[in-house]
Amino acid sequence: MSLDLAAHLIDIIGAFLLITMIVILEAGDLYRAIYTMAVQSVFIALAGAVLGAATHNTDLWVIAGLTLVVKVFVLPWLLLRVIHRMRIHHKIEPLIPVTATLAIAAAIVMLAFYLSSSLVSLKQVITGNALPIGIALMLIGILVMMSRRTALMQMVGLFASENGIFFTAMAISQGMPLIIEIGVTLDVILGALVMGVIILRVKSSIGSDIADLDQLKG
Amino acid sequence: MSSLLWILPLVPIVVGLAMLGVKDRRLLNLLDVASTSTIGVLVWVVARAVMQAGSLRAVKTFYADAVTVVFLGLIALLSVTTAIYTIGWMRREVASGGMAERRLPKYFALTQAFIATMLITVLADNLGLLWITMEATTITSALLVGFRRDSDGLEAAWKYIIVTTIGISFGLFGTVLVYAAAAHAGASEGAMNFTTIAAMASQLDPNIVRIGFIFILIGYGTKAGLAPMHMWLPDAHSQAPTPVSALLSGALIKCALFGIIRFHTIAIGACGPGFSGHLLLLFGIISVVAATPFILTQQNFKRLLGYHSVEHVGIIALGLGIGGPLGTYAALLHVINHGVTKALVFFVAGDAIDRYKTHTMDKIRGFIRAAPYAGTFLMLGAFSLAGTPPFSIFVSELLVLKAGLAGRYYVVIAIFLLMVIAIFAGLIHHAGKMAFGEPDPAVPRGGEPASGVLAMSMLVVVMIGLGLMIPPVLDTIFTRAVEVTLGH
Amino acid sequence: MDPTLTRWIWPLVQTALLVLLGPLVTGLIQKMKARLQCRRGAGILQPYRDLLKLLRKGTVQSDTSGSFFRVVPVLVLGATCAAATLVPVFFAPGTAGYASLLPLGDALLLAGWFALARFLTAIAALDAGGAFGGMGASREMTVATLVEPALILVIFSVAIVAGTTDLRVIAGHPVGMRGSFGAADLLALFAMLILLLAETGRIPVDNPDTHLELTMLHEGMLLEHSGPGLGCLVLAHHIKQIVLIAFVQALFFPWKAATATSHALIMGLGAFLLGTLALSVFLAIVESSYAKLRFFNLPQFLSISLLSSFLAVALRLL
Repeated sequence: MSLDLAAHLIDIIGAFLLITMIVILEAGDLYRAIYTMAVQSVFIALAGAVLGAATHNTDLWVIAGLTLVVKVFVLPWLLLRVIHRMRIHHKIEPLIPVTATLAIAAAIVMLAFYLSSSLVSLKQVITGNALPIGIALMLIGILVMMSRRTALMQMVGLFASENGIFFTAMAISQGMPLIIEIGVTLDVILGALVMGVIILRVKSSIGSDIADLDQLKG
Repeated sequence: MSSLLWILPLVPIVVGLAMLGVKDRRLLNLLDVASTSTIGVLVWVVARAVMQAGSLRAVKTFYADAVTVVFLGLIALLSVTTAIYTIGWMRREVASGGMAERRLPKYFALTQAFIATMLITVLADNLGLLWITMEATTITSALLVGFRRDSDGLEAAWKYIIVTTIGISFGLFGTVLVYAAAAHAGASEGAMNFTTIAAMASQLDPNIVRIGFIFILIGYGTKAGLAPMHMWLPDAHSQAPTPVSALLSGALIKCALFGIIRFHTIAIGACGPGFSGHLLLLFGIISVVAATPFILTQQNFKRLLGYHSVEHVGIIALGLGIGGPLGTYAALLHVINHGVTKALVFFVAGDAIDRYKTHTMDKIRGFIRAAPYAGTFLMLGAFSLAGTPPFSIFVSELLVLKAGLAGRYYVVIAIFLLMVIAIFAGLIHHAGKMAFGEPDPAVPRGGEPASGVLAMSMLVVVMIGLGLMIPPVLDTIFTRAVEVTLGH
Repeated sequence: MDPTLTRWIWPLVQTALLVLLGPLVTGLIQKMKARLQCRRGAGILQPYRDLLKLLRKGTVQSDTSGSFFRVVPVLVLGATCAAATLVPVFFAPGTAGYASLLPLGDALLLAGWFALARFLTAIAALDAGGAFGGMGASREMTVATLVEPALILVIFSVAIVAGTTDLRVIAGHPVGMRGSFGAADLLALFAMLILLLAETGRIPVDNPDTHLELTMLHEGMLLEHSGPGLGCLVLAHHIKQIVLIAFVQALFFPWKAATATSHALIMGLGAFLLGTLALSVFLAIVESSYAKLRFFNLPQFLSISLLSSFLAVALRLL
């Protein structure tokens, strides 16, 4: 696969990532958000495969496979289990109106593209439009975390944000060392486990959603 | 000798695993103290080796230079004193029902894991490994913060883990960008390694490093407690069990600063000292200013200490930002000084809270009469935190002042002084109210655990010692560390 | 053939094709939906039979409405047919043959014709004085507020690259020549697919099969019409649907004949039919898979398409 074709495919995958990110932002339902995040991770795995084929870097194939297993199956399964154990109402209450968040998301994407267009030298190192899409995804993921009251939705936002970082990291022409990617993935899994444990503990001892707790002030 | 570098974190890991099988509280305490003392000894040996050889490296990813030694020393000292303090503290907790006996092995094992992750963080040469272990410290400490399973503790743990994980993902992005810059400039094998990148820093594209540093500062700054990303800190540090609070405030936020210092070195090499210095200055002064009103109006003892940590992290950032040999020396010195003093005051706070059964400072009176040692240490610690001579923090704050004046940062120094004076007044007021007067008759008197007193005394000795003079050995270490940081 | 004659023939032939095939597409979608829902469903030609039946019936009109009410259906049909002339079906000569084209209008005029048709329908519904007409009209207009800007942004995102907003010229450039199908195209396509659902009044925006007045958007406006008038409006709805399908194809999958050779024409026609079939399947599947959104959640849903089209334009410019 030539590098040009790879850059083109990364462009298209980047657009799909943006689309899934917008859907996550707009999601009114936890299930839709989790499934869309899984779909987004499929695209990340695809990106890894494309880049692996283009640069003949076997590390990227491993990363793609790892992303597929962990972020498409394990993490959503974990989240769904927490939902099941918590037996919660899965509608999401946004703190800011959704249309406002979509406007902010538009501003973020434009900012990301503007920023990366000024980093000309980086463009040579990172294939395609992975840098602006990565920045945009990361920032929109954080936007999701800040504008949602549900703890699980905050976790989905976190995972989507990490997808963005992974996307940029994979597209660096030299590739990220495999150990780092594995380590990061492990951290993400452990973090997810701990968060799940905390959520369940709160649910079982107090009965409310943890993101609703705001006793500590001042 | 260099193999000690990977043995060092292995000690707490092995001991922690062993602890999982132990049920007896006293044995757990013994293992705790033994493990941390071993760490202390090993750190001392490593420090000597580094001073002789300049730097040590093991298994390609573990690296120790003078800066590492400073932080290793802090972690070791605090781990030992915390382990000693825990002896008495845990006995009281179990007796009063605050901690279930069957959960003790998990607590001790988690603490060991926490210490291990902190050790690896400062020993990591690979920037990715630094990130991974930083995240690992978040995970282990979040479990410790929420250990007591009450709603406030869990809320604090949740906020802690969410906010720091967001922050640290910024840090990951910054790491990726710096890596991309290094890869672009031609580094092949070691493009993730700090030493490689620092050596070729002048060849890196300054634009990329600038953007990367911004992400790093926001990211690791969240973990360090720089404002405006500090919101999680008072919650987490106040809700955690006291020994954990001491480690969090004393050691963990300094480890995040370690990450910032490493990238600061790279940034100095790539873009000159101005850019990263000014950013650090900005965040530093914002932290100091943001923390002050909360300190003055605070009611909760441990939250007060949490905000105080924010302020002092701001001072460290200020020192780094002012830069130059003097400013950086002051910052590194302050890392040790604040860590020691903060741990001491947390120990005192833990004692006070246990004794008076309340977190509210208004309800604590006559501490010196109720617990002579702890009360005295409270006053000493309060004076030290406020920046009074002959305590150590006075020295480092004075150095920051000197450096600021030398660098003509008049406005910044003026604001800094104003805040410090305000905090001095507030802190002494709070501490005085708590220490003096007559305690409530219902409050138990005396009965201070010897271990607690021992731990606190050790810290007081260091605190006063560093306030009176800096031994030449330490001076050499600090000077060398400053050189490494500034990239010479 | 005489060039001036060909100038007139192509628009006429293509428009006639669209008008004739419109009801067939609706019938096809209905049949597919029925099959997906495990029903037999009515035949594919049922819409034609319905139209003929309506033409034979008499007209009844509300007391409060006047002669304007009787004229509106014809006007709406006229506007929709005018829109149909602007979309290339299988012949698009591109910039080379531009001079030979009849200056009928561009994509923005298409949006304008649809807006006019919608406006007239709404006015007539209000004129009739019924509660459901008014409600349907106001809801339809709310949807229009969100849909039309997105539509125009989609047009712009393609026009920036093609250099013109005339659909017959845009469609004349095969995608490869316009630059490859990139991120901006994908975002614009995503936005357009949502707009397709909104403008054709399908689930999840509106339910075309509903008989409950409270859930009607488009149907609510047609409630008061009867006989040939209703027939005109229904036909206009069919034509609007197929024009939009042709619009999507012209913007994103244009495989049209560039020259008037019979070979190319047959290929172009084949491509058009294939594309229409594909989009019909898409509409049928979406209609069978989702439920209608609550009206208050519609702005949220439609703003996805607005955001997408906005980003498509932004990506083109940055």
